[in-house]
Amino acid sequence: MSHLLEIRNLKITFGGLDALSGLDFHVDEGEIVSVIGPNGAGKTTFFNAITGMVEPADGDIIFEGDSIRGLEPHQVTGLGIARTFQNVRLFPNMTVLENIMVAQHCRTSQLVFGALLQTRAFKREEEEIRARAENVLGFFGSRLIGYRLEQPAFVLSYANRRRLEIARAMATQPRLLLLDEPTAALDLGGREALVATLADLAADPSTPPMVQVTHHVEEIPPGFTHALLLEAGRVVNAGPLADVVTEQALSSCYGLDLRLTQAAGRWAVRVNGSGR
Amino acid sequence: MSATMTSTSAATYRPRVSDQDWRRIATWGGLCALFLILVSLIGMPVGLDRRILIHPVLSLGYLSLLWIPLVLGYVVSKHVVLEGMAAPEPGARDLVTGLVTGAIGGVGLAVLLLGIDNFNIRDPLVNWSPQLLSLLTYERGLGFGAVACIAICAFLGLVGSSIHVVPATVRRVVSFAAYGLLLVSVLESAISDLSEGFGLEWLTDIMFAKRGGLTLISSVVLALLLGALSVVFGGRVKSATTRYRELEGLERQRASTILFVVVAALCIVLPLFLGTIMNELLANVGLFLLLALGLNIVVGLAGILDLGYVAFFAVGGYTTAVLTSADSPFFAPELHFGITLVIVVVIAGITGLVIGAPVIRMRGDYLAIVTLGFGEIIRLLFMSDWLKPYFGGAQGITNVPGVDLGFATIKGTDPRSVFYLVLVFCALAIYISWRLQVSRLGRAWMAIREDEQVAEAMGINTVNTKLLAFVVGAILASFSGAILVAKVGSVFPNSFMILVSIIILVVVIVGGMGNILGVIVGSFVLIGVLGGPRQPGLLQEFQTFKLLIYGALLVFMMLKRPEGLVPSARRSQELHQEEFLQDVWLKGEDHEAEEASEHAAETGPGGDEPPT
Repeated sequence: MSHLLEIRNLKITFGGLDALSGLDFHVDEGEIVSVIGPNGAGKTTFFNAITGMVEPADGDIIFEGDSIRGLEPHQVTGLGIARTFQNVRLFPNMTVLENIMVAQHCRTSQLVFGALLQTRAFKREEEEIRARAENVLGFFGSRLIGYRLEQPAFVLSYANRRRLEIARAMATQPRLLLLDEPTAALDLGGREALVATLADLAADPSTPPMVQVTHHVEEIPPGFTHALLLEAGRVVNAGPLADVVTEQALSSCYGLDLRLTQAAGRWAVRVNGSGR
Repeated sequence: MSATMTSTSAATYRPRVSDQDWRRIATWGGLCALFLILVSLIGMPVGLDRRILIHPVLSLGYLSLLWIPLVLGYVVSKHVVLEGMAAPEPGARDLVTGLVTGAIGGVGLAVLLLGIDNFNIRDPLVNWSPQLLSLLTYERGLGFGAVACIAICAFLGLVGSSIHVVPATVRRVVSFAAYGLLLVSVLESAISDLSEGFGLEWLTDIMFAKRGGLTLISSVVLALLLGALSVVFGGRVKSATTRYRELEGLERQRASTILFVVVAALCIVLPLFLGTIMNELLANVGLFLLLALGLNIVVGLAGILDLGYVAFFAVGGYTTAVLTSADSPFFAPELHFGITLVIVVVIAGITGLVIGAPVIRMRGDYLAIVTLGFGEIIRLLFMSDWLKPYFGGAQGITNVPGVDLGFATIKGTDPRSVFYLVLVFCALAIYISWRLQVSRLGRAWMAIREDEQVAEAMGINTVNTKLLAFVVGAILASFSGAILVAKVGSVFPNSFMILVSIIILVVVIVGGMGNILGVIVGSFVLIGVLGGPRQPGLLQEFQTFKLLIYGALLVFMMLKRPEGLVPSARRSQELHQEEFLQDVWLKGEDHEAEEASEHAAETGPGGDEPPT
C-alpha cells in the first residue's frame, strides 16, 4: 500500500549532531497528524527536510510514490507540499491580497509577454488568481477580507498574521499541509480562536491531510486523528492520537510526572507535584 | 498623520523663554559652525560667487552659506509632538533657540575669518584664501566682517525658527514666494530658453539683469505675485489631488486618461519651443531615466543590489557602434539602427544571463561586490589591447551614424530629434515597468525582495525569477546605451565608468525605490538639475561640487527620508513601520477593537464582525 507521504530512515546531522536519527513515519490520505515533542526534538528540522530546505544525510522521502529527496523547495511546493513557519514569515510589505496571490505562483504560468501585451489568457489568469485568493481568505471569516485586502501584511495583528500565513500555504493548493507551531506566541484567547479555526479546517472535507507541529497537547484541535511523538531526533511513538498521547509517553518525553486529561476532543496536561 | 496628531494632543503648555535646552543648542550651533566652515573651505562661496541670483544682493556663492543657519535654526527649534504628551507651545523660546544657534554658527565663521587673516595654511587648504576673506567680510575689513557674519547668521537662525511660530497662512505665503523666487533665479537659463521659444524675450529681459540674476525690483514683484498666487490657490492643489485619489472605478480611469493625455501632449509639444541646450539636457535626463527604470526593476522590485549595471549600458552602446559604424575595426555590417536594436536586445539579454547566472545565487553584500567587479571587467575588456582589434581599445569606435527614419535623421547635432527618440523609449520602459509590477512576475519579484527563502518555499523558482529581472533590467539599459551611441556618434570605454552605476543607483534611491514616478522625479532632479557623470545639468556651476552633493544627498536621504522623494505610500509606511505601529497602538483604534471582537467570536456563535 502506498502512503501519501512516507519517510524512511531519515537522518539529518548538523555538524556532527544528529538532529534526526533514522526517522520512519508516514501520512495517509484523510489523516491529520500532530507532531509533539520538546524543544530540540527535531520537529522543525523534520519539516525543513520534507520541504527541501535542508539536505538529509541519509534516508528517503517519498511523496505520492516518488522520491522528493534533493528537490529544490519550490519544486516540493509545486508537487503539493505547503508549509508555514514557526516564527511568522509573511511578505510584510505586500498587501494581504498580494501575499495570497503570489502563493499561487507555481500553479500559474504567465510571464513577461502576457503582462506586456495584456493577452486574454493573462487577464483571465489574473482574475482567477484573485478569485481564488479571495476564496481562500474567505475561510477565515471577515478577518482578512474587505478593507483588509489592500492593507500591507505588517499592520495585521499577530493572530491575523498567523491566519494569513495559513491562508498563504493553502493558496498553493497543497496535497499536504505542514503547519509549524501555528499557535505559538499567541495569548490564550488567540490560541483558542486559532485552535477553533484549525478544527474547522480539519472538519472541512476539502482540506488536504495536515501535519501540525506543537509543543503542547492543549493545542491539538479536535478532529486530529494521528500523532507523532518525537524526542531528541527519535520517534517515541507514532499512530492514532489516543495511542500516542499517553501519560506515560509524555512523562518520559518531557522528563516530568505528568497528568493527562481529555474532554470534548481536547487534551490538557498538568504537572504532578513539583517535577524533577 | 501630523494633522490628526496635533488635533488629538490638545495638551500644550507655554514654556519660559529662559527654559532652554542648552546642550541641544550647543550641539546644533556647533554643527552650524562646522557646516559653515566646511562649505567655505570646500570653495563653494568663492567658486559660485559669479553666478548671481538676485542682481546686486545675492549670489549662489552666498546662498551656499546662508541656507545653513536658516535650516538648522528651523531644525533646532522643532519639537517632536508625541501622542498623549503635553507639547510646548511654539513661541518666544523657540525664537531665542534659533537665534542663539545661528549666532554660534556665525561665531564659527568669524573664527575662520580671524584664522585666514592671521595664518597662512593655503598649502593643504586651497581655499584658505584672501578671496574667501574678502568675500565674507564684504571687503570692509575683518571687524565688520566678523560682526556681520554673526549678525546675519543669528538673524537667519531666528528666521528659521520663526517658521514654527508664525501662523500657517503666513508660513505658506512666505515659503511659497521664497521657493518660487529661488526656483526662478536658479532656473534662469531654462526660463530664458523657454521664453525665447515662445517669443517672450522682452519678459526675461525685464526680469533678469544683464550679467545674470533677477533684478531687485523684479524679484520683489515676483515675490509679491507668488505670494498672492499662493493665497488664491492655497489648498486647492492639495484638495484636487486628494479628490483624484478618492475617485473610483470609471471616473478614476477617465481622470487618469485626461492626465495622461495632458502629460503626453506636453512632452511632445514642449521640445518644439525649447532651444538646443534645453533639448540636449532633456535628452540626457531621458537616457538616465531609461537606465534608472531598468535598475528600478532589478533593485527596487526584485531587491538585487546590482552595482555593475553600467555593464549593460556599455554592451548596448558597443553593440550598436559595431553594427552601425563604418569605422568598426573588425566587423562593420553597417546595419540600420532598427535592425541593430533587435540584435542589441538579444545580446543584452544573453549578457544578462551570462553575468547573472553565477552571481544570482549570492545574497546581499556578496552579490553587490561581485556585480561591482563585473561592471569594471566589462569596461576593462572593451579597453584592453586584447580586444582592441574588435572594439578599438581606448580610442573606441567613431563615426557612428544617426538613426535614419527615412523622412528625418536623428543625430546628436539635433538634440530635439534625440529627445523624441528617447521619449519613445522612456514611454516603453515606463509601460514595461508598470505592467510587470502588477503581474504575476512582479509579485514574485516583490516576494523575493521581502524574504527569499519563504518565496522559494511558496513555490517560486527564485533563481530563474531573479535572472529574469536581471535580463529585463539589462535590456532597458542596453536601449539607453544604443541611443547614447547614436546620439554622440562614437563610443569610448571611459563613458562607462563605475560612477555611472553609482549615479543611477543614487537616482533610484533618491527618487524612491520601487516607484516609477519616484524614479522619474529622481532623474529630473539629479540629472536635470545637477547633471550626470559627464553631462552638465541646469546648475552648471555645480559641476565641480556635483559628486559631493550627490554623496551628501544620498547620506541625507538614507538618514531622513529613506523612502525617496516620491515614496510609494506603502514603502514609506514600511520604512517608518515602528512609528506607524506606535501610532496605531496609541490611538488604539484598530487592534483593540479587533482583539475584542476576536474574543467575542470565540465565545459567540459567528466570527463575523463589521469592519472597524
